[in-house]
Amino acid sequence: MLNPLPITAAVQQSLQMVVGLIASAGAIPASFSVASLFSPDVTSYFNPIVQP
Amino acid sequence: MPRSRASVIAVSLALVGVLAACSSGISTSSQSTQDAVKKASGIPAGTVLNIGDQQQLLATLLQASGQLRGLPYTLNFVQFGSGPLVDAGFAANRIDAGFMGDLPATVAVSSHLPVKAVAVALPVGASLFLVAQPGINSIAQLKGKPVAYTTGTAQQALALRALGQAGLTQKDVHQVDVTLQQLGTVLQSGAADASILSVQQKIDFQETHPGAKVLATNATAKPPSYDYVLATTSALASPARKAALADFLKRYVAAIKGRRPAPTSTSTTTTSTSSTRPRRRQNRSWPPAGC
Repeated sequence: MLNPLPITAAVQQSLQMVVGLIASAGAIPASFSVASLFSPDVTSYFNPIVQP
Repeated sequence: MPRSRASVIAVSLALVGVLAACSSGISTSSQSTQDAVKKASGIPAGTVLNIGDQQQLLATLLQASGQLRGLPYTLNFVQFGSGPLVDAGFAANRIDAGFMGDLPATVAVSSHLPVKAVAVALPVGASLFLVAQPGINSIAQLKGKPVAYTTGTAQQALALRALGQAGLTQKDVHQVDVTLQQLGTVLQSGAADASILSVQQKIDFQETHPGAKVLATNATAKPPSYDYVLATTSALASPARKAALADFLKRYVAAIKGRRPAPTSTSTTTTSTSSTRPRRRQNRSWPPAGC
C-alpha cells in the first residue's frame, strides 16, 4: 500500500539526500539540486488533495 | 548510471513507434451523460489526460476500486515497464503525468525534463527487498560479489541505501544490471549473489531457497523512499488538464484509501490503455515493482 502525502520541505530534503547518496556512491559524476522539480504554486494547488 | 538526456530522448523515440502500434481502448459512456458530467465538473468537453502507468498497476487499482466511473474527461493509461521509461514517455511528450520512484524522479531533473512534482506517496510496509543467496547473512558479505539491481530505478536507490548501511558503495559490488522483470531470474540462476526483489519475486525465490535472507527493505532503509507523481509544465499550464489531473488525484487517493464512489445509474467511464512492451506475468503488489 501507498500512503499519499503532501509535498513538504522534508520530502524535498529526502529527494536531495537521494541525489547525494547516488553521487557519493559514484553512480553519477556529481550531485545536483532537485529544487527545480518543486514549485510552490503547484504544491499549494495539489497538496490539499492529498492531505491526510 | 542515470540516463543522460540524450539517452532518455533516444529511448523515447523508440517508444513513440511502439506506442503508436499498441493502443487499445474502451468506451462505455452515453454522450448525453458524459456531457452533463463534464459541465458539472467545470472540465471542458474534449479534455484528454494521458497518465504514465507501470505494469497496469494504476489502471488496475482505479478500475477495481470503481474510481474510474463518471470521469468528466478522457483518460488514457500509457503503460511502461519502469520509472526510467516513464521519464522517456515525458521526453516523448506522450504523457501529461506519471508515477515513479525517487531515483527516476531525480533523473527527470538531471535530464531537464519539463516536469514538476505534484504529489508523493510513502509505501506502507515493505515492497522491495534486498534478498541474498542462502549463506549470506549480512550486507557486508556482499563486498566484491555480484548484486542485481536496475540502473535508474528505485531498486538502485534501495541497493545504494542498503550498501551504505554497511559502509559500502556501488563500487564495492559488481552490479548485475538487468530489467526489473529479470531481477528474480538472475538470483534464481545464481548469476547474482543478491538482488532487489518485488514481493512476488521474493516469495518465489524463498520458496525454492528457504535459507535465503532479506538483508534490507525499502521500509527500513534511510532516507525514506517516496514515490512521485510528476506532471508536465504543459499540462499544468492548461486549466483543463490541470483540473483533470486534480480530479484524477482525488480518485487515486480515494482508491488507495479504499473509498468507493457513490453508485451511479449510468457508467460514464472513458478510458484507454496502451503499452510500451509485450504483456508478461504481472506482479499485482503495490507499489509497482520497480518504479
